[in-house]
Amino acid sequence: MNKGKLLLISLVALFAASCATDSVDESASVEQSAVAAKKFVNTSDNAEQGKLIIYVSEECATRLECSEVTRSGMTELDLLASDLGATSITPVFNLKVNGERKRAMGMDRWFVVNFPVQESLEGAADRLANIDYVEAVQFSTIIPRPVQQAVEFDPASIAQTRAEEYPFNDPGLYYQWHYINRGYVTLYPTSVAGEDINVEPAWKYTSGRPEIVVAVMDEGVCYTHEDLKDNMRANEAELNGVEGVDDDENGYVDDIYGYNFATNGRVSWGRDGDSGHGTHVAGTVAAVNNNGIGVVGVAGGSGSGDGVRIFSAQIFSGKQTAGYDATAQAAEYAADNGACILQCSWGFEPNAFSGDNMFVQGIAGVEYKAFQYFIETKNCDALDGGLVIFAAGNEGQPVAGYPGAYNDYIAVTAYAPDGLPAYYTCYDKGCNVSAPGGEYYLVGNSWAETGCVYSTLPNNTYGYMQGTSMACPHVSGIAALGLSYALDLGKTYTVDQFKSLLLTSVNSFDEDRFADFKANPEGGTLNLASYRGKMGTGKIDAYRLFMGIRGVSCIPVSTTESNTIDFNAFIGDGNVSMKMLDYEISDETREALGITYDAAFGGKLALECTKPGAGTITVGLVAGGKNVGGGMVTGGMRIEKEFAIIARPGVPVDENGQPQIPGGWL
Amino acid sequence: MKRINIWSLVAMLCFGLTACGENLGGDDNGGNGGNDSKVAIAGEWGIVSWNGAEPVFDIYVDFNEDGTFEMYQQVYSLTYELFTGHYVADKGIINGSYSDGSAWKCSYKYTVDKDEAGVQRLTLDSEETIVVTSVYTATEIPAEVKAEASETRAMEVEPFL
Repeated sequence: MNKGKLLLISLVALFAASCATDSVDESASVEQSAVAAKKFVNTSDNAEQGKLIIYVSEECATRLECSEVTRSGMTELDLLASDLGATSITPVFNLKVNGERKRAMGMDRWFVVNFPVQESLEGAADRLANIDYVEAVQFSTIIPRPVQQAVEFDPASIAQTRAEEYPFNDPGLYYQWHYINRGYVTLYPTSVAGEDINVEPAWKYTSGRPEIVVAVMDEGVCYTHEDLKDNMRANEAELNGVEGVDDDENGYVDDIYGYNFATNGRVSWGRDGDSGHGTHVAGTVAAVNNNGIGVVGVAGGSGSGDGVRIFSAQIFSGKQTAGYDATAQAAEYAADNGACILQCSWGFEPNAFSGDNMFVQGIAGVEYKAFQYFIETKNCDALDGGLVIFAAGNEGQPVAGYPGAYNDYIAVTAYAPDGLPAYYTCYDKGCNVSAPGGEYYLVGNSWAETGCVYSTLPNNTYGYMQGTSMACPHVSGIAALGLSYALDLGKTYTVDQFKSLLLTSVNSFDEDRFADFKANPEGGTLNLASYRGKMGTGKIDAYRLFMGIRGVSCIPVSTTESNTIDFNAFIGDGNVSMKMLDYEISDETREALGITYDAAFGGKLALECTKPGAGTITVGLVAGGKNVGGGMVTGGMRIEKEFAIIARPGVPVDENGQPQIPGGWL
Repeated sequence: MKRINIWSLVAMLCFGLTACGENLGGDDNGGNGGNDSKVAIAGEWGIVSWNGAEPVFDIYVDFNEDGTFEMYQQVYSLTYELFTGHYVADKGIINGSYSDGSAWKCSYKYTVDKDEAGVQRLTLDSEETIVVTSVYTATEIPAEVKAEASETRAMEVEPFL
């Protein structure tokens, strides 16, 4: 081979090698970008500037936890922090409280990187995502702020005392049709008596217990309000401590009646842009009852200091709104400070997420993780965790807004004093249960507000608001009331059991009326047929919940005839429509009832029993809609309800095999 | 004279039967006599066992000496319901009907004795193909149960009778 030929071959080889190297580099770069892209859990839409949330490896988390900014010892992160001019890299969650459990849940691996707002948010996110030990990058999306103007109304202006007609002497109760609806057409022209949460008979058993604590995640709650202050849960260490000092060393200064996570400061309610929303929902949960002033709360006690307690986990403050990290901290704070119910009258617009997966990936972690932490934190002897309750949304869409639409959280739709869907309510997918949200109506060309929900407003005032935001605290209040009653009776529940109880303690909507149209105060009419079977399991009923807590009702089955059980006939008022998913019968029950045949059939259970006896059947049901949410789907919540079964001879069955209530026991 | 003797005999027989009923009623073992058996089971009872197990439901019965009864049951509804009617206890068998005229689902053999704690106990064995035993003990029916069952129910439970 001559030298020239060798050179040519060498050049070709070199060129080829060079091409190959470029190709490898390019491919590695593409691969790296793809890996980095997968780390983004949401987009920068509506995100806070100068802030990114990162989820890092365990090693990195350990180093960051005990290091200063840009000196973690993790080279790439330190360099990047230095380049960005990062002012802090701090843990999202407060590991001083329940640190061990939080670490076990991976909550110690979430950090907030703060840097000057002039730095490109996307650029910084890109660079963070390209660091190996940064496993996820999240933009701190700003939560939409509720915008509504309340209409003030002073209950003291009511001339006639009506205490003799009501269980409590609060003058505003007359106007709170949502608790006791007497069908007064002066309040709402098509008001229907009984279209309320049926709490009056429940109050005979209990009207709350101070051991039950509800965290109001909203605007600040006016804790000085005359009709709220006695039911505010105070942090005694801060109350009796030094102003400006974190007396209880929980990481929050002066958090006496909660904390303002939007401003990282004290709870507030009077800033420009505040609407009183947080104070209003707080009053629905636990305005002080029977104190001769103002209004009544669902679980506000009897006037003897026995109402459930509330505090503020404030995420809206004036025109400021908490981002994901601060919202996550608010939920964490609620769990760490004794709340067993998280009252959340807020959410993203419907269709902002296309399914549960997108929500989980979008929230991914930090906020979702905080809610999970809340759900898994036991703060009530009657419940092994926490309940998260959201408003479904006011956009009139056939899907709830997230987070409420997510499978683990309860999303509440709204109805008006006529017992029909409120014109604004979201419904259908992701909606779990309904409660009074109220509705304005038109008198001539004017709006009348007495069909809305009446509650407390800041600075010792009272007024009306409408919305699923107002429906939501009814469910929170009823849950609080139910847990109070459970404590009275010494009953205990898992979160899933209690949710099942709550969501089946309902009255059905009058389906016959859904053939009609209803005037929409914003113009036109509502086609009620669209809402048929789509308002969740039904209208929540406090008394049914109490009775469900107290005992069980049994389903009779015949030992002499074949049974085909439609369990809906034994849920709520017997007219609900919940889809049966599956069922489980224990061997013990099979033996006790001598079951010779059982099968799911058209959403019912075919059952043949040969022996008198008692047992239980656990049935999986969809609470809200026909499909369970999860994965790509926004849908209802799967609940499991245990039914007591009594097999006896002589139990009548109808032509469809449905067992009928046999009357007297003997 | 002859007629007088016959009626005397009838009267004596009646007296004898009554006396016999009194004895059976008095020994708390059920009885063969009508009215006196009512005396044996008269009182307020609460169910403690059904079919050999503690029931998940609740039943109280007040058997009155005049042959009427009030039954408070929380079985197929979440609230107590009141059922009233008449019963006949005769020869160790009790049967009855509700106020609307419908009969009990079956008759029952009954015995009255005392449990280990010395509390009066009423045992009813259903007269059915498969006998099911219910055990009640003497207990005062809680006032709240009576109040709940008698008042207009807020939940508008369907009338079952």
